[in-house]
Amino acid sequence: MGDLGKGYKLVFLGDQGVGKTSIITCFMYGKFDTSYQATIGIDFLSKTTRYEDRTFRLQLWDTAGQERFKSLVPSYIRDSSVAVIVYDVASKQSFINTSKWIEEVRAERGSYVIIVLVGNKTDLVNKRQVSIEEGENKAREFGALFMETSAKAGFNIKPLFCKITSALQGNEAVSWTKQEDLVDVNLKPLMFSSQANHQQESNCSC
Amino acid sequence: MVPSEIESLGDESDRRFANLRGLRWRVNLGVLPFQSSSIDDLRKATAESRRRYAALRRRLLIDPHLSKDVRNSPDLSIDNPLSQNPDSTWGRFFRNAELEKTLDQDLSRLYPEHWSYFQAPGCQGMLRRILLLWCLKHPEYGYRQGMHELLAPLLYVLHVDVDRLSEVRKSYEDHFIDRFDGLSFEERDITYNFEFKKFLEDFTDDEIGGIQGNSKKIKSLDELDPEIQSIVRLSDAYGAEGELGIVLSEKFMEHDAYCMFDALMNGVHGCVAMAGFFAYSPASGSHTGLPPVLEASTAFYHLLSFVDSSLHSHLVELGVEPQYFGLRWLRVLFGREFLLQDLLIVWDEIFSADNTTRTDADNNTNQSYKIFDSPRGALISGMAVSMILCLRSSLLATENAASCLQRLLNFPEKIDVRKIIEKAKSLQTLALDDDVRSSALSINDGFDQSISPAVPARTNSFPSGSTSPKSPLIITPQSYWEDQWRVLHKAAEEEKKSPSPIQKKKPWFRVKRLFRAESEPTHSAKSPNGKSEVKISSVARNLLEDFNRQLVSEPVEANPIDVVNNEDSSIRETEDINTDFETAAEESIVMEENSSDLFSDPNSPLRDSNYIENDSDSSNESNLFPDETVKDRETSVVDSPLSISSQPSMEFIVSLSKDQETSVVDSPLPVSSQPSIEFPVTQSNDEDNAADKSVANIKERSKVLPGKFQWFWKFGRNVTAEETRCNGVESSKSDLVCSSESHSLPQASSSGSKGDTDQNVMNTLKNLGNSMLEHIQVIESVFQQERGQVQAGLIENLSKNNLVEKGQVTAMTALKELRKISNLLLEM
Repeated sequence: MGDLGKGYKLVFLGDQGVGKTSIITCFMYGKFDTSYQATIGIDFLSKTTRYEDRTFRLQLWDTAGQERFKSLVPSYIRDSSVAVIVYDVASKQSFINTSKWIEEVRAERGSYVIIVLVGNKTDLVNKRQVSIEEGENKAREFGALFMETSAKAGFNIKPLFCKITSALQGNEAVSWTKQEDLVDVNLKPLMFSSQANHQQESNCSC
Repeated sequence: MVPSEIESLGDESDRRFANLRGLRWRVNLGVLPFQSSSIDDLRKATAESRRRYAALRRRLLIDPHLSKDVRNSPDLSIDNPLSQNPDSTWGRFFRNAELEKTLDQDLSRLYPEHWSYFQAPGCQGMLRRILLLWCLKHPEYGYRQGMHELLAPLLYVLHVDVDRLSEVRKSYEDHFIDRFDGLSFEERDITYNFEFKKFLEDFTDDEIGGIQGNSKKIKSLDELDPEIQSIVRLSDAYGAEGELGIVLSEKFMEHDAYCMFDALMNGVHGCVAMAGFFAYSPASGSHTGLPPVLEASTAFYHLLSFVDSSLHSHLVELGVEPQYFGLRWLRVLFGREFLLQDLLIVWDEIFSADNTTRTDADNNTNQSYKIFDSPRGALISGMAVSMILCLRSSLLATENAASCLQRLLNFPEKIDVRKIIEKAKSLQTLALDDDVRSSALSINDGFDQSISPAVPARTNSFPSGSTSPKSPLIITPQSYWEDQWRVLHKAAEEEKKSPSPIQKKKPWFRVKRLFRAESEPTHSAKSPNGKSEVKISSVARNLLEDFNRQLVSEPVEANPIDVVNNEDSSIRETEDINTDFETAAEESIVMEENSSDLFSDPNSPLRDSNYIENDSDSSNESNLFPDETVKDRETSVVDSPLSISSQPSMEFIVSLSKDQETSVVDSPLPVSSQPSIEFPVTQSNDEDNAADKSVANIKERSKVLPGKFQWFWKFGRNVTAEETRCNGVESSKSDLVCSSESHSLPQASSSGSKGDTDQNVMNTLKNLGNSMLEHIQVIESVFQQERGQVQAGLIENLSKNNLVEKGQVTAMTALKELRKISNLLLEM
């Protein structure tokens, strides 16, 4: 009860309008609203969540998709535990641009950060331009976790954050993985994830 | 024409546009000339700005018709540029299409709470075209998120102005009859197909309406209030510039909004250009080398640190960098933080502030934040700080950066925006003066650095001050015992040498001289306590020994200047200590005359010593103070005769081994430091009168020795006062400080031994002290009379002899009483 969970900083990156704010809001308040305004600069939300009898204080840093913060806010990726890079499955260009986001995170944090690739807007079935396989392959290529979601439909939002908290404490939520048909995590991402977690722990001890 | 112009000038006043926010903003932003301009000037400027927009649109958009069709959504399959335009046009078209897609992503989610207005197709179309054209004209910026939220309120206020026009038209329909017909044509003029028909009807209407309009217009000027008159004139389709000159026009809202947006973004060569907040590189002329949005964020943090340093420190400690929230606050000019109606009030104030950059060369040299260069920039900074202060209590309650930034980026809705503005204005004044304070701040920084070295010095001086008062006590006992044992028992002297050499090694050379100088006063200090009936034979023997000792001590007197200098530096050290302590009592002592200083300043160590020994009340302490002073003077006066009997008293003391006797001997120790000040004075006097010395010593010593000593004592003191002024203070002070430190430990042990004193003995001693005080006061009164006469300058032989005789008689009487008290002390 009185356990003050460890604080983790999650940075949400991705192109303009892919649904970063919608994912966060759905996780925070369990609802989807079509009235979200464009994020200007950075927005901050925090939420405490419990996972396997442990408490996690998540600091969610929502960013403007159009922004290149490197020259304005150099430290926004610094000290982050997780970088969630979102693309729109109905926008091929947003998926292509995720490479730049991932490289930017790696340049800033090296391998001391867990990268999660998220394909959002899966409810747009007829407009899909990026397949699950493409997403999985890119995640594997960069040593990142992968998951597809739909903030509008509320699909896979909580499992996404469970996956993140599981990775944060160095354990995989096998049960969650099995229950989701659309999620297929391969061995290699897991191995990279373990390596990142190990370094993360050593970083925490410092 | 002439009457119309005169009437227009007569109507000049800000009140005309009180309810026309869009018009006021156009004036404030520089699109239209200042409010003192005439209606015709406004119309001309309006028409001119609209022509510029039309030309820009004609130049940058590929085809106006296609531009209108794009209002809904670009359907590239319908309009195939490949079959109609060259490659360059085709490329531009597609680039424009991509840019429009980007714009639509943000425009489609603009102002959710005002969805019905901003999401209307007409409004979205105008917003899209304005942003598109501005971005095409300024490729160095392109479109950046947030620009759409700077533009939206501008279009909104223009629409409100047009609504106001509609209200006035309904209320004063008779004045708009002709114009109403004209506008009705405008309403039907939605495409160019009706262009020819419009031209014909306008021409006809002009001929007919001209006559009636003029007559009614003249009448209306007398009846309507200034605002209505302004609205009527601003809407005259037949005035200067024709239809383009209609200042309040729904048809040209897009043109007017673009001009306002362009003026807001480029700042019209003023201090604040909103486009700068979207740039990544430093602005030209920037002193900080930061991108403008970072520099402005740093600027309001600087202002905050000046206004509320504790809140500023809290934010800095949490790692809340100002650009985290400043980026949004500044880019959309607080548009995301307030409801739309409140935002309009905020922008009223910001746009009312002058944006002209001050060109004071001195200020430019001193200040480092460009945003403080104009009242508008200063108000924006003040607004940011005012908003932060509004959240003060909740911000101070936060524990980490994320929760703190959550509050900064979720500004409460139910808030009195006018109070925030009021505080922002006061902060604006401060920010404008802050240029001066920035300079002052840099000076203060230098001052703080200069203080920093001083603090350790002050800290060092305190221990020195606490140590100095004790040092005389340390020196005297050592010299006393050394001299006594050497004189009385040579064999015992050898034993004494073992500890003595250790002590000698520590002090400086000058301190060593102090030992010799103080040996004689030590004798005299002890005499009153150790006095007893002495046999005649022993007296004679002692006289002979004293005589021999004086001959031996003459070589010591050969260096009186050094001794006096040491004493003078000691006095200086005491005065410095007084200054450091900064107590009222100390200051009063320093203020006394020079002649008094010689006796008063050394008393400070005495008083401290008494405090350490007795822990007495302040009243007792104050009593002891004059007591010691008077007693010391008496001791110095009777120095010579007392020295005759010093030998037997020493024997008596040595023979005793009881603790009580030891305590008796220890108690007067503080007194012994006083004679050390005066004895060198006497020696100095002897040196000055060497010629008379030999004769005086031979004849007068046995008879008039007390009187002689008195006279020399007064004269010598004056000599000492002069030397004091010429003394080198600092070098001597450092020497004494070192010597003081070296003796701090022995003093501590000495204090410990004194703690064993029996309380009963102390009480009895206090009573005896009171009795002694009465006799000492008698002697004091005698000397006061003598001093007064000396100051008057009476130095005749006759008066001299009288003073000597009178003082001698009185002193001897008092001394008899003191001898009785001494006997009582011996019996104890």
